[in-house]
Amino acid sequence: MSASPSPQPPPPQPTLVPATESSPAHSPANTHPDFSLSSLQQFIADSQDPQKSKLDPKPTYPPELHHLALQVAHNIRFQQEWTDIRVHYRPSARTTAAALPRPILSGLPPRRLYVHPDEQIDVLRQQREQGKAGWPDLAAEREWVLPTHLRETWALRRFAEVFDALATVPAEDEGSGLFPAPNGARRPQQSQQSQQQGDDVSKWRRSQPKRLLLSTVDDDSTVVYYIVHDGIVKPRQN
Amino acid sequence: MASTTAAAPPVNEPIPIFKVAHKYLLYDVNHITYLRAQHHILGVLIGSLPQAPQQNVFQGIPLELMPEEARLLCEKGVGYIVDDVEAHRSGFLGAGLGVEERKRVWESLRARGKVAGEEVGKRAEERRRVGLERRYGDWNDVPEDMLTGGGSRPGSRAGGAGRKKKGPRREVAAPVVAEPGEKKVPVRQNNSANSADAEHTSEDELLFSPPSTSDSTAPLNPNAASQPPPTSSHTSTETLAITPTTSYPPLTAPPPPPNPTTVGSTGPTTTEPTTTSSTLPPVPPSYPLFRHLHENSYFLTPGLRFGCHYTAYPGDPLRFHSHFLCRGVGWEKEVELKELVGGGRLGTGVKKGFLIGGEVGSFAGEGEGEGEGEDGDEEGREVRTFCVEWGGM
Repeated sequence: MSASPSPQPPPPQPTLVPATESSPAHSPANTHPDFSLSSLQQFIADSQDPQKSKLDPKPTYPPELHHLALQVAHNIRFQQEWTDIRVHYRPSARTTAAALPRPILSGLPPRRLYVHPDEQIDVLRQQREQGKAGWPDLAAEREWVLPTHLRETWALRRFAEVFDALATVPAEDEGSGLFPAPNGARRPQQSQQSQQQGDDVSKWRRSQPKRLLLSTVDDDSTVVYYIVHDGIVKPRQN
Repeated sequence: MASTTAAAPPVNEPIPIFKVAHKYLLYDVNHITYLRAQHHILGVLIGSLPQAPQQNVFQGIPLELMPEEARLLCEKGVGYIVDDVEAHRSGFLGAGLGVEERKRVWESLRARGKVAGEEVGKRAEERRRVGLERRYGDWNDVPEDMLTGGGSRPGSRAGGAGRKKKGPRREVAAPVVAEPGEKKVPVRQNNSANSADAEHTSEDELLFSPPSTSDSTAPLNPNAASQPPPTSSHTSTETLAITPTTSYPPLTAPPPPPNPTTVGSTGPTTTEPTTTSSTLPPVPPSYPLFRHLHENSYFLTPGLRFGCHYTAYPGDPLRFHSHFLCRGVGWEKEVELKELVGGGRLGTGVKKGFLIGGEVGSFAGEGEGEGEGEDGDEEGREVRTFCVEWGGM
């Protein structure tokens, strides 16, 4: 803990991509096939290519924040096997916030990421009433993902800004798709879920404070994920 | 604790919190129980056996309160601060005692010191005698009555007989002392008749004791005079310094006027020991988080063992596991993400959450002095908290 924090630390400049990607139109991958970019580098280079990019508006964020989001998106897609990953440039419609401090991702994990302890008890009780054993396959829920770099520092105020700009759950029509959901992969699961709950969003999710997944990238491309709740939420009994 | 609450006598608020050397202490077990049961203020028991503190598994009273706890109790009007040194000075040493009275107190203290010193000297003498007897049997081979000019008895040198002789020798010695005219001589001789070996022991015992003035003891010490005279005439009258540990009747501190909003105001209304319940206890910048969690009926203990500010329990720590490792920071204080990651990881490892929080709009960075000076508008400010758990991926 530094005794006297500098008033404004310089914004982090994560060097996610080598300098060559500054000219995306003439990406080295196109001109020199031998000089191959990594999958992540190619992904970021492609997202800057107006022809290849599927992102709708030109984002107004600094490139490093944009690249950070892309790197995390790449990680949750191919390492964590998330689907239907979208990037959000604007606050959720249900909030009054003016702007998002940085691009935020949302995605669908392969299985439920977080079960509140009260919900866990409820599920187990239901299981017992139905005469079943074990843990049921709970439907996955869409999660917010906040991309950060380890060399950043964050204040409480900035976390509050992010939470204030997010709804409890990402709306279906918000954000622009980075990795669209594979057709039919998600819908049946969702219908089964909505049979029980009567809504897309479970009552547990609605009754609990907002949550997001804090993803922190280090220079060696390690990404760690921590769930952050907007308020006092008792810990899981894992 | 819980079982004692039912039988505990009623406790009158506000409760005096004693400030000694910047620590906030409670000495009354009823107060401790009451605060724990009614206000979920825990504190830390710090009383230990003075002789063997390493043998203590559980500490006893006094109870030390965190500054945050003392501050919270003062703000709620449940407690008030008594500056122990000041209260003692003004209540006991100050106007409370007259010159005569003080002299008498000193006199009695000195008398008690004399008695204690004589006790110690007597015990040392007894130890020496027993030790010599054990080692040499009947070490005193000089016949008891040799120097008194009485009948010349042959001294028995048999070692085994020494213990048997112990009884009779006393009986012999007693009439010797009683003989008129020769009172001093046999007594002295009885002492100095030690063998050469025993001389060292006696020197050691008496090394730091003042020269024996057994005669002058009696007039100065009426209490000692009333006691049975020492069996052994050898008395090293070392006057011990007595530190009074109790006072009777106990000093009572009148609580400040019951005004919960301005608890800090002093109320020296009586001539009794004035309670300097002055300003509120200074607290670290993490205090808003402490207050917020306390308002949400969490029990808070110091968080050193988890490297955080507080450990939050959803109920009494005797019944519940803790839920959170709490870290209080200022609103604008820049926190390294490594701290969040480390805290979240540690918290998940011990089945807890890592909770970071602070007061909205507070600028006090951590470690930049006390978060003081804005007591008035500090009340009711919103505190926001964030819980961090491992994502499991």
